Amino acid sequence: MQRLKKSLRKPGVQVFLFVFTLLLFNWPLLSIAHDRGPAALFLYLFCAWLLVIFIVFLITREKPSGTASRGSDNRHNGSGDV
Amino acid sequence: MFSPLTLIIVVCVYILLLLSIASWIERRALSGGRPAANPIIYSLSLAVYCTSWTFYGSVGKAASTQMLFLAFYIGTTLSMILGWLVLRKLVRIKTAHRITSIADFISTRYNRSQGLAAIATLIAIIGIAPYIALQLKAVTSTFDIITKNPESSWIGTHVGPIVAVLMIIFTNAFGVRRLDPTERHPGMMVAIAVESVIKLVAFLTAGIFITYFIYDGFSDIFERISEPGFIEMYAMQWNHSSYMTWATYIILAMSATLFLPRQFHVAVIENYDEKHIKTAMWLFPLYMLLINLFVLPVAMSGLFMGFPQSVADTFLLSIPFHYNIEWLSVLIFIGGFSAATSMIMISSMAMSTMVTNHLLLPCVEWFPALGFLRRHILRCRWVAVAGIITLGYYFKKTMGDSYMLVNMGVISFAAVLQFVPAMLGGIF
Repeated sequence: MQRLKKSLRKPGVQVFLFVFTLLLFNWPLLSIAHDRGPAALFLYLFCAWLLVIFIVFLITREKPSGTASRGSDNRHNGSGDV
Repeated sequence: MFSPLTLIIVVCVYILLLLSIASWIERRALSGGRPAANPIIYSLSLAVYCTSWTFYGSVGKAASTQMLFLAFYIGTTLSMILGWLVLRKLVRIKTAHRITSIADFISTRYNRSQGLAAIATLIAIIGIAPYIALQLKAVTSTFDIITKNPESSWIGTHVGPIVAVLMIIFTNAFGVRRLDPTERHPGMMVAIAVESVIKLVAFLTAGIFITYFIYDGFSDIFERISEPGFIEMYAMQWNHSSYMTWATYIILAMSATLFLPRQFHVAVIENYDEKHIKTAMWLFPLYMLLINLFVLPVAMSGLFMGFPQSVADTFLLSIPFHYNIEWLSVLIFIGGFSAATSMIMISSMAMSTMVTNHLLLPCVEWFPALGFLRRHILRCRWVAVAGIITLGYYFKKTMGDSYMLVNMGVISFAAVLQFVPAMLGGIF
């Protein structure tokens, strides 16, 4: 579990998930689901989508909070990465 | 069936309710509170992405191309996955440079070029007209469905201009009440969040009713779709070119999620705390998943019942109305109205800022005779709001009947795609 949490904190994990999601929702994986009929395609799309959202949820839980633009109204010059 | 006057009264009461919520929040904000600084409100306000296109148009798209409509929401999810990298950076740049709009952002990142900001504003105006037209078309066509003999009354025959005028009044009352250097509107954001909840509840209620009370659930609907000849009859073939269209829609949606002027405004300008992005990264896609869950069942149900494919945009309302369930028809109409108003209000408000800052003020500098306008910026914004909504109405009047809802929206997405190179170049 600790290992999973550590992996989710790595900076490249979002880029990896982005590429993974792109592959998940494009040809050829999509065509495999489509060839099995409308119900299979529907089930595939929504289950895969829910899975991706769940992974994003886990990633955001592990992300440390940013330091810039916190507090009152974001009005100071952010000291973060601009 | 309802009389046109009854429906207009229902709409006005609903808007007044939202207006009172917005006013209450604004009062709290003026007294030093931060009532809109909440990750749930931020995430729900991002759901202004789900307009009449989502509420009615997706069903129309699904009736002809099955699951292709979903690409617009998968693309948005992909954008949100990178939210912590891209959106957070946009928010930080906005904070550091006190940016007020997407045109301001592009200008700031390229040596404060006024010309570039003006071009971005003009592209946004041209791109937004079909999108506003789409919303007005959805409201007027659904109004016609649930009113009794709309042609027989003055309100029924003038519903288009009436809705456009109401939108102008409400936008100015909600979002352009005062000049604020941060361009934040906490009252409006909370009102948009409330509208997001209402449109989700309305769609889910209609979807559950159609899927589980008219038919025997998802399995029953998919069994009927799989019957020989059904897909062929409605020419819903998914071939190799569909994958190309699917990928194109994903790319368009990815850019629109952050770079449509209204999305930029809500996601970047109205952001109080970058921590809120973390919640939005999963809550906003989850919202889109839920609102799309019943799109295909509703579209297929309409076809099973024998409604023509050409009017599939209104299936969501037509089906409960066919069964004479008045409360559900009103709920759906209000849901669709919420989807349309939230888009029109945020878009025209964001555009009015861009028009005054990047078109009007440079003109005032060039022509000193116009200098008096500097004292009337707020009134100029009201006029800009009126002009933008009127342009949308004109587009709807001249070309609205030739296109289905989604196809009108895609024009706007294509316009916004022109911002992407400049934006990405400005961020990284």
